[in-house]
Amino acid sequence: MKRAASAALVALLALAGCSQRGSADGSDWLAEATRRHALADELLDRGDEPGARAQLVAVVDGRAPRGQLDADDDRRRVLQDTYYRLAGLDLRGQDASGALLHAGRGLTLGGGQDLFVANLLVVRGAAHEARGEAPAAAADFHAALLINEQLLAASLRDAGGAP
Amino acid sequence: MRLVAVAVLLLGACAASMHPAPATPPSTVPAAVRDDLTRAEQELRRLDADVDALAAQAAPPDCQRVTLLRDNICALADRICRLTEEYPQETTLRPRCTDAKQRCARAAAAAKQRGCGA
Repeated sequence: MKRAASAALVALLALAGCSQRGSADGSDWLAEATRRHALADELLDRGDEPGARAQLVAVVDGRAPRGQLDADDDRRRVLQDTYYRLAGLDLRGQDASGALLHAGRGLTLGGGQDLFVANLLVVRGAAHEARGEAPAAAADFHAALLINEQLLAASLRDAGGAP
Repeated sequence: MRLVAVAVLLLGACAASMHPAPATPPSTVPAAVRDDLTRAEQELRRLDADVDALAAQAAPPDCQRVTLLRDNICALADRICRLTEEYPQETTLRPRCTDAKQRCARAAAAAKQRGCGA
C-alpha cells in the first residue's frame, strides 16, 4: 500500500503545525523525532539498515510528550508511523515475529480511522501472511481496506458530493 | 443551470404565443408585455448568478488523495484475493475477496464519477 505521500512526513508536518500550541517538551520531541526520521532515511539510502533501525528505536524509546489533546494525537501518529517503519524493516529482514510485535505496539496506541492505523494493519497483515496465517492476514488487509474506503468517502463528501 | 433552461423555454413559449410572428417592431409591444419580459430577463439573470454561485461553492475533490485511496483499496483487494487463490482450503477467504473486489469497483467508479483518474 502506498504511504500517502510519506505518512511520516504528514505526521511530522501536522505536529509542526501544532507545536506552537503544545508544550516546549512537545516541540523538542517533535524536532528530535523529525531529525531521527530524516537520519533514518539517509541511512537507509546508504544501505545502513541497522543504523536506520537504531534511529527509529530511539524515537519510540524517547520520552514522548503527554497531556494536551492535540499533542497527544500528533504523538500517537508519529509513534505509529515509527512502529510502521520498524515493522517494515523487520519484514525486510525476514523477521515476521518482530513485525507483528512492532505493528501490535503501534496499534495499541489506538487512534481513529486514519492512514497511520491502516498502514499498521497492512504491515501486520503482511507479517501474518509471511507466517502462513492467511485468515488473519486477510482480516487485517480487509480492515485496512475499510479504513481507506471511509477516507475516500470523506474526501468525496468534503469536496461537495457523495460518491 | 436547469432552472435557467426551463425559464428560457417558458419565456420563449410565452413570447411565441403572444407574438405569433415578429412582424411588428418592438416599440409596438404592449407596455404590460414589455414589463413582463423585462422582469423575466431580470429573473433569468438572478437565477444565472445563483447557479454560478452554487457551482463555485462545490469544491473539486483532491484527486491526488482520491486516486491514492482508490489505489490502496484495489491493491488490498488484490492481496486478499491472492491469498484466496494461495489458500483455497481457507473457506473464510472467498467472501472477503468477493467483498473487497466489489469495494474496489465502487471506489474506482466513485473516483471516475468525480473526474479523478481513468
